[in-house]
Amino acid sequence: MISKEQVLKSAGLAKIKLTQAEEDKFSKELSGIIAYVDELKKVDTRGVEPVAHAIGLEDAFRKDSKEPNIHIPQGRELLNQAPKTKDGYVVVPRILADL
Amino acid sequence: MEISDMTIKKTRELLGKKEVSASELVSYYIANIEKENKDLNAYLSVFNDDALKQAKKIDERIEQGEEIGLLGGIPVAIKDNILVEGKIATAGSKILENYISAYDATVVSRLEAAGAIILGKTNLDEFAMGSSCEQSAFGPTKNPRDRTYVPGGSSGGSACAVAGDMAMAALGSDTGGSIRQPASFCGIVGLKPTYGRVSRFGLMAMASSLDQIGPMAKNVYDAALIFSVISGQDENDATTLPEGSFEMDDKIFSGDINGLKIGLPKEYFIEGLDDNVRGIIEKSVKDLEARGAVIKPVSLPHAANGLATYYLIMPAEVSANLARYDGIRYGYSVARENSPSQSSSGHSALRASDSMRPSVWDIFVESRSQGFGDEVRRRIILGTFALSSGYYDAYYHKAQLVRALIRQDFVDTFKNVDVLLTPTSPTLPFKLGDRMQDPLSMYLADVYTVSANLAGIPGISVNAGNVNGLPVGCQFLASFRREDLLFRVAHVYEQIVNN
Repeated sequence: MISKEQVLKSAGLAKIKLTQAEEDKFSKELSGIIAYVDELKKVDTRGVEPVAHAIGLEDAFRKDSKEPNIHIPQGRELLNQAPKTKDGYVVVPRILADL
Repeated sequence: MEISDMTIKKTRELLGKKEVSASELVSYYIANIEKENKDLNAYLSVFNDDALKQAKKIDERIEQGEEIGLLGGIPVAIKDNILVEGKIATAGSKILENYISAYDATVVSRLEAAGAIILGKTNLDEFAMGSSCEQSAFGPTKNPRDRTYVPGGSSGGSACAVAGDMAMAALGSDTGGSIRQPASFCGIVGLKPTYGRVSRFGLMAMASSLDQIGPMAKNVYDAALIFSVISGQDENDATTLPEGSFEMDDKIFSGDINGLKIGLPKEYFIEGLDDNVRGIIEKSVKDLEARGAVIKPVSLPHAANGLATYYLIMPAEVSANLARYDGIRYGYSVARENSPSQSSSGHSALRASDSMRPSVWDIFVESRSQGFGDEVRRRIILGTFALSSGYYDAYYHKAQLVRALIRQDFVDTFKNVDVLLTPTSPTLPFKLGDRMQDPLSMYLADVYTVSANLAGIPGISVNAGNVNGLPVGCQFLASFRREDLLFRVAHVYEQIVNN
């Protein structure tokens, strides 16, 4: 089960707002999904190491050189997609006053 | 020979003999797209001028007797969550409606280097989250075999483009079945490669430990050919495997499956499997046995937990990956000039702060709430919950443990058999709209495909036949890096089905 409060808290953490109608709809739907995934509680996992990555690749190092290894896209083109820029920086509203 | 009947192999042959030109091919597909796309909605954007220009270049090279590459002159479609430089990439989301790709995905540059011609970008469930192609912000795609049915998803646009004769092949992405299930629903071939064999650089991340790009094509040989072009390590994707590149080899397509051991996992043939699908798949087993394959019943004890495991791990990764859509750097933003201060989707207007200007928090919340559709928001909330303090151990961590068991089942089973044979989907394609009101019923469409992503192994879906005009797909699974075995058995299998 997942309560409406838990849904709202998770939505808030994810910076998502729900309308009144959506609160009820999502709570009902997510409860159904959580009830379904709860079957995992019955699986015996004693002594099992968790898997985060199926292939188990570890420590992929880039070449140790001063040349850029990764093809870096045009910064300007990326910057152009921001709502507001100034002198090559993304502009955001000041945040300290809001804290 | 009609272009609609031509495979990549045949087309390359005819291009070489100058019996068809790349320009003719591109013009043919553009004409079909113009005629059909309004109704089918397979493409979100079409690159007529670029494609024709590219075709002309290929034709000139043929004229000059130059090499044109393994896929020279072949018109292909690209799922719209894969970047093509300078072109809009929406991922089926309103939040990226006007987003312009700043660079090419590695798969795109590899296709182009091999001479392929990109026709356009195809529709998908928003950020590849869905099993029917109905969750796109730009309307559903229809199944070209019967337009009242869904094409499957999330790579429904790519499947529709190939099955609907609007491209010779396409690329899709598969996080839990998003290549194989639409291939099954549309009656074509779809390959989900081993995790790490194809670069994900330039693919919009959905669930990074599961996502993989793969080919969708008219037959197994074509899928293998495209896979040989796009596979291989990429320094821009640290999760690509060393020596991951696949080489074409005629021996794979010799038609010999004598002695090949095919496992039938009993957990895939239980309640919930449609009788029509079961009948066709059981017949396929007999046919393969008649060709010399050895059929063995096997068990994957944790197969039944695959879907639940997937629906915790995937949303958890989704919630992290989609945090980047913040309305600050790119994409839909309420901070953009001329953006509506009041959303049409029922969200209240921005909080009128002291300065009457939105705070950075307002920009996050409003941009995301207005920009994401229902399914994406549902999964982000679910994933955030599964990762949150107090629930992490019970959900996300538990799913990681069960994932280890699911993976181990495959490792153990592939000690005894070469490939596994299963249905791709438990049911026939469903009607448009049928499962939109019940997310869990939609999720069940992935029940046979998600385990391959959790384990990282490759899988292929091949058409097995039709029921009342609706295609049924047969899925083969193999061990890590054994796509060659998938091609070998699937190639024989499609010959059986076609005859």
